[in-house]
Amino acid sequence: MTRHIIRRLLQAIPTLIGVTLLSYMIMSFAPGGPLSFLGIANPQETSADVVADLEQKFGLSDPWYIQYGRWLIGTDIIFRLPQSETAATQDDAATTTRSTARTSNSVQGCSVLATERQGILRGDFGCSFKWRRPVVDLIAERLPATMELGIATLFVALFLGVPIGLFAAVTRGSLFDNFTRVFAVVGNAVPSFWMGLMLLLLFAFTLDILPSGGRCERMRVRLEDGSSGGCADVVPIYNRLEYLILPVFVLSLSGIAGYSRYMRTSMLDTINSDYVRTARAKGLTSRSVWLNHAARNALIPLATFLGPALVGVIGGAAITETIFSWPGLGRLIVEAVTNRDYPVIMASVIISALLTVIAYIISDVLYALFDPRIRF
Amino acid sequence: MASDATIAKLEMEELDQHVQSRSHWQRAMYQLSHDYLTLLALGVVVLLTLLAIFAPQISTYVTGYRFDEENLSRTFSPPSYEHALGTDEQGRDHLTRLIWGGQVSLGIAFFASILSLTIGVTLGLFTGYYGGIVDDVMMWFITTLNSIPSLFLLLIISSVLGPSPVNLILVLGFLGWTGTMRLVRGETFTLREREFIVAARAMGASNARIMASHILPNIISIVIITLAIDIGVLILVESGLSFLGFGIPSFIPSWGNMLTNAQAYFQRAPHLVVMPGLLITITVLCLYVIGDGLRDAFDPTVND
Amino acid sequence: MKRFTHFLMVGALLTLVMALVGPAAAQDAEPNTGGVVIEGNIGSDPSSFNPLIGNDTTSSDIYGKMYPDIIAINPETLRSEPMQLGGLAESWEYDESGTVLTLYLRQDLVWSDGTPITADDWIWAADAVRSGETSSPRTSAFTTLADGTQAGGFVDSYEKIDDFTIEFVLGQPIFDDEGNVTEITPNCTAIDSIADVAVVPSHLYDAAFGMDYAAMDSDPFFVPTATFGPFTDPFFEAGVQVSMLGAPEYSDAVLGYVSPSEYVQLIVPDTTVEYERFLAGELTFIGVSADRQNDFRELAAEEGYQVFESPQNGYTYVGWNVADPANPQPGLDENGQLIDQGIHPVFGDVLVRQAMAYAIDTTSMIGTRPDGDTPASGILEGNGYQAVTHNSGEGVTFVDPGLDPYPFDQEKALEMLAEAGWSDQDGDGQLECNDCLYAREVDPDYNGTPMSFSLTTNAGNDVRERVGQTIREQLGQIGITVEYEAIDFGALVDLLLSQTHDAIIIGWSLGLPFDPDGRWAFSAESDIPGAGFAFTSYNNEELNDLWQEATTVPGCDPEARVELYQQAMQILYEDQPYLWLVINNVMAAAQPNVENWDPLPAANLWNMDAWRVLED
Repeated sequence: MTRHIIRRLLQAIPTLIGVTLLSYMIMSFAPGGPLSFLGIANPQETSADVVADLEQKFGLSDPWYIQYGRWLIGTDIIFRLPQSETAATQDDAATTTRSTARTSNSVQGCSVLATERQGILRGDFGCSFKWRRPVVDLIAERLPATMELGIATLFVALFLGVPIGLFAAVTRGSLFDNFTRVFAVVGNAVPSFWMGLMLLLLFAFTLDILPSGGRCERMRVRLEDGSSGGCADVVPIYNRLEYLILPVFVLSLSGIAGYSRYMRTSMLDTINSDYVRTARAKGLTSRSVWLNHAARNALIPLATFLGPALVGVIGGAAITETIFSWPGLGRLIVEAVTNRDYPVIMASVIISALLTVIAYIISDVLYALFDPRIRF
Repeated sequence: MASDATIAKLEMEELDQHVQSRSHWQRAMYQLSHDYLTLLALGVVVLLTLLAIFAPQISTYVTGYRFDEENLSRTFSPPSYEHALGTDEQGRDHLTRLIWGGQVSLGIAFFASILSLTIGVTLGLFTGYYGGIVDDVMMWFITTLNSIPSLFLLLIISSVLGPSPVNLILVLGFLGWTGTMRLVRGETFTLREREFIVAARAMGASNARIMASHILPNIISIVIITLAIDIGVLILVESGLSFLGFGIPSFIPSWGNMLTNAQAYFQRAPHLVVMPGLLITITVLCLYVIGDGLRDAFDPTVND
Repeated sequence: MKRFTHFLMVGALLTLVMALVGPAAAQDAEPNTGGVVIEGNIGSDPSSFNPLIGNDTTSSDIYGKMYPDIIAINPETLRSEPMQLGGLAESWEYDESGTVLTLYLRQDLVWSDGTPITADDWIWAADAVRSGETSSPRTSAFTTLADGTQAGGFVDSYEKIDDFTIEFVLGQPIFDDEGNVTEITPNCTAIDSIADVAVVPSHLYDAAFGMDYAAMDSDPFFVPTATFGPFTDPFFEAGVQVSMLGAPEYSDAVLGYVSPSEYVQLIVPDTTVEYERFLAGELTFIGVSADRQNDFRELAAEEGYQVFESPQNGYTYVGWNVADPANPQPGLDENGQLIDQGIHPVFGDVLVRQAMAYAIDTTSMIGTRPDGDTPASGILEGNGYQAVTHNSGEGVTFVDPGLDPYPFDQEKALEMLAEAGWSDQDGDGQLECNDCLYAREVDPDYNGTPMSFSLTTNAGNDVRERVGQTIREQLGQIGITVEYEAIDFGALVDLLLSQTHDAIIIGWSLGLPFDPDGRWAFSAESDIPGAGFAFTSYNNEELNDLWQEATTVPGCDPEARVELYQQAMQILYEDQPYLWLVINNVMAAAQPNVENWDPLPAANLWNMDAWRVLED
């Protein structure tokens, strides 16, 4: 088993290399090229001296694989820039005095024009053009919200989709079976932004029974360390479930539909299989046959859906998060694309890919664990 | 990768039962002709397609308006004798725009699906047939592409290319083929070892000929099913892109951008929100139903 | 209640007439008990809390509430005046040359840690910006940077006389061949440049950054431990809100203390949701967009919302590129001589630009408000005004040239186009060049080319997007092909600055303090591809002379200036470098329970520190 996991992890490496290459290409082919990456919007109109100076400073005239390597593992390994030593010491000096002059504000900024890079493998995705903050910070503060939404969505999709599918299979042809099938298809055919907005207008503004967006009530609180915090820092998730209802409903519709359909088919296959027929012939009650044999076996392949489902949730979150003012990664990436904030775009792509790959591996391992036929 | 293999295997099991004979097609057609739901959906889609194709003629001879003909003194009119479905925020005839919008939305979805299907089938055939290093490289590429949420890639690329229907077709087409390719590859994988292929090869048929005249006809049913579902999905994707501000310009009507625009005015002109939303839903629903119906017809194990 | 002062300019000397109305009413209320003021923000998170490097509106809305201005704006006159709340200037005087300004500062102001606010606080900031080591966009306040590069501004030097006196040399610079300033001529708008640079607590900035000004870019969210403004201690929760607390000791407030306890910018996805959240009582105030104003007026009458309307301080227009878009050139060469920029195939001809003004129906775009059973019409539904030229008489401008808009008359437009050499000879409904200006002067092969151009605006601005569709359609009717596109705002600004466009729909916000000088938009010196706002490359010698004269009137006598600007407006009106479209009606609204809500035109929030949001 351990060997299998290690093998899967090793197999993920080429994928991740592919993802970084792809994001690097996005930056290179972006309008304005790599200079736009330094916040120079119109290289053709910037004076030649400035451009030459920047190209020298950032090593932009080097071959692409050198630049890619530098971006990947950092400037100190691929080459050390001439003025880096002095810059580093000055920075340290400034940081120590600064603490006395600043308030408790916890936001850290950064400079787009910093020449030293740790490289993305060491978590240095650079600095956002638009927000002037380390990309890693931006993503780190958005990720929990997206994960919250994503996990809740998967949870709801599984716990509604699977029983619906099972029950539909068992009661094949019944009103319930037909109703859920139709509902699943219709739910998937409605544009999600339209449904989201209509639900928001109905439940939040007309009926006023659900919140009108956001992840939590708006508030500002003093945290224990003296800094300020928002609601999500102090209110546990079970006390703000009402904020999850609408976005999770919209996001999980396709999941519910997919799982229930899949479970229904899978269950029907199992019911028709020889061993279930044998079990029933042995005189076991249909209830125990379904639950103990059929359902269990039908559930196994479901594990393989985890990876793709997570990609779907992260992708779909871009629209849902926008409608419901959900402070997550999806909205960040939409804003970054609008602002051509390439460091943020690239980092979001890489990090969501990383999450996906991990989800694929987990689902694969789960599958192997559940399915007695697979041995290592 | 194991998970990919598993999915491919499951799909194969589902499709493995096909009997490659004329009777298979006859059976499917018979099955279809008795599936009234699918026939109804097919009818609706054919009707909408005809409306879309003949949009220029309809707007000239029937509704009497151009899709961009404005009348700023008659904005947001409710349905009336002159405007059967009212007018929009620029005083344009809503019905005319819905019909043209169908041409744009269906057109983009259709051509993008054809493009992605062509790429997917070709690559799927080659990799499935030859296997080996070609297959490894392709699978690596696909796994890479699939691990990035496709909406992100769509947003990034369409923001770089700029909005136009042709660009949208290209972007959607070039990003949407991986699913088809995996299906076709899996199917080709199994077919390659079948007796009739082995026989053909033994008789000296070239690889190209085997692929074109022996394998391709056997996967055509998957292709049709995928096409139907893909078109539906792409109509939704187009509307989602419009919502996020990356769709086609709004004087060219598409159901997606009409729906997006109308949302800002839903309080005063609900009629503008209802129709595009309904048309998208109905079309996508029908395409799903057709896809399902075709799957049922071609796959005797699911129905009994 | 108001402690505002008025000042008059008499001849060359400024006489200050103070009319201090005693500090606000008795302390009948404790500071910071006036509730939470919440506004919607359809933008995104701030990118800086530092007034020296901040560069977007979300950020300036935040830092603008924590730092004083050296010269503040009187919200009633919308001009820079001494003795304003939140402003350091107590009085100022020019010497006889009109280029040396002595500025006296108020001596009663202290940072929240008790340190007095002195000349050093502005000078530290000015040194930092002028060093050129930061990404500060305010370098344009100065004639040259510390290293001698030209920066395009008016402030040539500044010197501390004592803690509360600064002497400036400012005005229009004249450079020699080496780029050194040889002479400064007076300029009536120069004084406003001083206020571009904020005042920061120099003792704290110095402790944090020392001379390493570039370090500010690595720490854009630096907030010093002491500030001066109605709100302080910004906290931001990514994608959710920015919150500031009411400053407990701030005395330069309208009431003498800050009433609200907290000011919040809440992120909302779009105007629809923002409007609904306001109606649901979740936002304290809102700007109502043009297409909702008619509905809201009725609603406000029923529900008791407070409403304030005024014309926008700005306008929406189409900018025609009059120079060759294939080869963008700056207006002037290094020696200040005009450069031949070529002509645009379509818009190089003034007759064509005038014809456009006849061919496009602006009145129908502005439309009408609903009246009884007649529904509203047009794009703005009556909630806007016709813009006729750069300063039209609506809004806060004090220049009213009294010009009538070009009437909508497509036949007249076609006649003028025929005269300019554009007519439909082959009967295909499309106009073609038949001996048009470009064929006559540049390329005879251009004859027969159909009349077409690209029109671009930014996506996300509803009015502009709709105006663009209407222009496309109306010009289409007379046989002109318009390739219309709405792109994202950043891309539009890039395109506009690059001067490779044909026509662009965009708007100017005329800014405060208000000044009618239009050289930044209509002169060869501001025509710099990639940087200048005179992106149409329109240039008129006569107009340049007028701009020059109007900003160097002895003593900057307002009446004499207005007369010159009226002549300038006449020239712009005739030359039509822009097709002026509309001035929006701005509608501000507040919840019924907000006390002391008292907006002024273009200064809706001037007394926010006095608001009380009452509990229901």
